[in-house]
Amino acid sequence: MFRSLTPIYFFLFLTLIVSCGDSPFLSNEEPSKAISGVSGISSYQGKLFLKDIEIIPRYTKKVELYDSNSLNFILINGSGELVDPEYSIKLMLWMPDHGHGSYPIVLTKISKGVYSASEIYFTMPGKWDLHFQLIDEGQIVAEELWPIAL
Amino acid sequence: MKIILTLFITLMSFGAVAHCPLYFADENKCASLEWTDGPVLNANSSFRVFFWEKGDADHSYVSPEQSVEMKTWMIMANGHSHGGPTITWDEVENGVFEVADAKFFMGGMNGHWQVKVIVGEEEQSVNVEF
Repeated sequence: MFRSLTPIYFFLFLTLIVSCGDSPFLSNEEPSKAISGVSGISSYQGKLFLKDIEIIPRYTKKVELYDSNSLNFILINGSGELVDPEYSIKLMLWMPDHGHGSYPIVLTKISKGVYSASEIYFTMPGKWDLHFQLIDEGQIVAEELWPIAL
Repeated sequence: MKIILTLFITLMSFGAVAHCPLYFADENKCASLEWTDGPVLNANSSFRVFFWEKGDADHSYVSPEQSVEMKTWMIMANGHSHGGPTITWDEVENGVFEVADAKFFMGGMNGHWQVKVIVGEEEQSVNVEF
């Protein structure tokens, strides 16, 4: 009886292993802060936090000057669980050396603790900061900067 | 009085024929840019660029023989200048090019935006006023 079921169990086990992949936002084998596929870009190695929530961002494709770039990011608490902050989130690009920003970034919530940011335009090479902000009634209550060099 | 009237009509006629906001000497063509939505800051703006033969009072639209490209350009007060977000265009009919994704922003910059229309190697600019 059990002997006859073994191939079935084996098949089911194999199917389970093959079909289980990492989350699309977590499947990149590179370090979580790396910007994949871009040569000559510096990668920030420190952790990013908004209050006690860690931000783990990933660009969805190679970053291009002038083109519309996008990134996904997840927010996790100290236990590694996906969480939403109690305040609204805003992303903003800023070029500190030149003292100006860029086009407004569009932020979309995918699911709890999972967000997608699009329309990220780097309009010139140089040092940029991507600001992750928590906003309460128009005021910034927490902010984290992700330095990016293009 | 008749002389003045004749002169006025003649000058107006020349004005109509000579209307050439953007002149591309290589092809002896004129172009104009008309906004269909905007221009606005921090949202998509749309415009059309029309080409015609210089001197054609009817402004019958003709497609340039050379490639047509367009881009937005920021000229900053400090003397620096740089491009804006990439825009795309379609030739919706002969000599009529449509852009629906022009993106302008200030973001703390002190300067003004232009739209650059490029035919072959020749470039003409239109200042953007919000």
